[in-house]
Amino acid sequence: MGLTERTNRNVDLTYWEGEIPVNYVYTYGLGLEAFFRALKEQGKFLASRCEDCGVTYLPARVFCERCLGKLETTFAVPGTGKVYAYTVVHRNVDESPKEEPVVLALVDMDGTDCRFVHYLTGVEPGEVKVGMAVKPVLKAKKDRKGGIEDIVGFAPA
Amino acid sequence: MELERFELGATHYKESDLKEGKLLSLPWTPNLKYAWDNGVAIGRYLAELKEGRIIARKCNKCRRIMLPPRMFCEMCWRPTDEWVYVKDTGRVNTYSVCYVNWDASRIKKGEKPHLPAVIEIDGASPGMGILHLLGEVEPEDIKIGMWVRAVWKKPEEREGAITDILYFKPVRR
Amino acid sequence: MAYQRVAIVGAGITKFVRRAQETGKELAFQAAKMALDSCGLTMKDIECVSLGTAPDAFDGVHMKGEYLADGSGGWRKPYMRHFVGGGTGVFAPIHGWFHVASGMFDTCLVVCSEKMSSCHPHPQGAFKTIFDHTTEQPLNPTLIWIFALEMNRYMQTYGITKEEIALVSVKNKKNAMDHPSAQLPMEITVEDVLNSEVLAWPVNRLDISPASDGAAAIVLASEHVAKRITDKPVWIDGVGWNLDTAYWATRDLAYPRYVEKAARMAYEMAGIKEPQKEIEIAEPYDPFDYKELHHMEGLLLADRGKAVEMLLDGKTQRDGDRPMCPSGGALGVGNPIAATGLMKVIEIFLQLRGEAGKRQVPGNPRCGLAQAWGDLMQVGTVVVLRR
Repeated sequence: MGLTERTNRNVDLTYWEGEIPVNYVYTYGLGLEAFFRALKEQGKFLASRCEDCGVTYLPARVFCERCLGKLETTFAVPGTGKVYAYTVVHRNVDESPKEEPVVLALVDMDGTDCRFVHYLTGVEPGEVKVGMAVKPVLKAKKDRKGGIEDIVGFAPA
Repeated sequence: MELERFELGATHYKESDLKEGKLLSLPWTPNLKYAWDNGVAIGRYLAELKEGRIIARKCNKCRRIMLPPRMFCEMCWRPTDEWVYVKDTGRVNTYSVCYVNWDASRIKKGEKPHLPAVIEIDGASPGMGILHLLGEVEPEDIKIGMWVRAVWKKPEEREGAITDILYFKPVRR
Repeated sequence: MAYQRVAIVGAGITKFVRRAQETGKELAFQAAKMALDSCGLTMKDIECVSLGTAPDAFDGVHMKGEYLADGSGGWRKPYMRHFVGGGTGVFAPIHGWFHVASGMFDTCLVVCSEKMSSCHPHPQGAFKTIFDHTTEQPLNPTLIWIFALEMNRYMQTYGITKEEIALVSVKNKKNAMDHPSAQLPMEITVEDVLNSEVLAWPVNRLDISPASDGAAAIVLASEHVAKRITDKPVWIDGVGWNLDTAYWATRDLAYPRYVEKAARMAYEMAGIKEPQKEIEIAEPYDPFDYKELHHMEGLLLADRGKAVEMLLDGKTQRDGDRPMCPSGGALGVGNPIAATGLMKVIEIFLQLRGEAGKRQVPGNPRCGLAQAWGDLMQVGTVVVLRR
């Protein structure tokens, strides 16, 4: 068969199945280690600020992405914010329908120049408004493991 | 700017630091499964292996008979021209005696080492080696240049795969 | 060909470690920041960024180039990732050279970062899928197979022994004792190498470089800008790269022809007629000990099958006539894939400036070379540097 010939018989086409059989363990790195430890142990949201660029990062980082300056101090911000954008999700990752739709939002975090992507909780999809004030809902301290799931979601403030 | 004058980055940790919770970490097992289309050349190659034959492709410009077969010649950069059956015998171009599995784990005690080899198949152009395994031979008896023959799975067990050849074993010439 | 002359004016590197707590982007930041500090520049002075990093499957981060952008100084800059497997660490500076040589930019930050420790059960597992999925993977290959097969063919073709090759490992791991980034510096003997665990004969454990995390970075500048930054610029006078067929089993495994072609490209650009005389110091890529010899031959720094004689004569020692891998190489400093190649470029940069500290070779070399190698044993990447 020449390069430009075509076959319309699918049964002639064979395939080989395989996989990439690896798994991963990610460390959080210097920045996120500090952030998630504070969230887990004190329920605090740690930010860092680059004075040269006038940018406040949340979660805290160890460098400023604009000037590559080193950021050496962290401070707590309230963890509250305002809905910047949202979407109502009806399907799971595998495309199966969700029992109840969930609201995923970008939240402008107060006192910072960053947004969180997370779920909204305690609010009906039809009631969500862009600009709505929200506050974080954390898991009970004993259930917090040090990860993004320690935040259940953001609820209307 | 001697490096010694700088405070160098990277903080080493031990694997046990994660288990002991000294450092936060997150595991992830991706589900990366694929079905790769065989395409024309490899599709035919596998179909012929199922029949107990090895097939190559010839380029009429450079006159190379190529294994594994391909629909284009990467040297002449033109379509190849003919299917050519080659033998299931050949010579060992190089080999290894391997005690490690694909994931860097070690083979079990008493288990025989893997014997990967590059085998130049008779009837293909010189240097046209394929990766395969050696068998029915002790590691210390393997020699570069040794003649070998394919040991096939039983016809009813073949599935159209490179593993339809179990391994290559030494033959006298 | 008309292009701007390009100099390396600054360099940065992290320690190379088996497991780093830092994320890949934090490692990139540490190296990039040091490179800027080393020449007194800030990101305001940097016009574009060239990033090198090896397969996404190591870090387990899909689209790793985009992920690493912020730590590499890529924020709102012309930013591009370059990738040829293990050859990446010399490929990224070659692309940085393009950016500046073309006249499009006057400065470029080149960053290479790698975090292999995320990959389990072992980073080697990520290599399984570089083999052909239909005709090779079903045989359960490990990465070491292709090295073992190539090493065996190389030994057989030229009558070289494992004892001789082990001397490369002994030399490089010892050289690494003086490198502050080194992961595996050690004083060992040939017997130690031969008695270490056999992984895939003829490859023993001490014939191999380790899996590593780490990052490296350099700052490039055009001629008129470089002279305002430093009075010790090191010029990139030649670049070359070349790829061989992906059907690796059909290649001449005893001689890396593609490395020769890459070297000839770089030599022609640099006006080098007799590399054995003119290249005074080199960092050939040494993920396995035999590869240093194999690459010296491909780079035309030794005649075919004769690199081992230079080794046995002591010529490739740091105080020898033709020092090879004075840094300690991948075998001694470590092998965070892309960062390794750039570490080698940095070593030649420091050696030509006379700033290699305890590693400094005698004789005030004026011209050196760094090389990396990779993909499916098929790419050679070369830069020729002069002061």
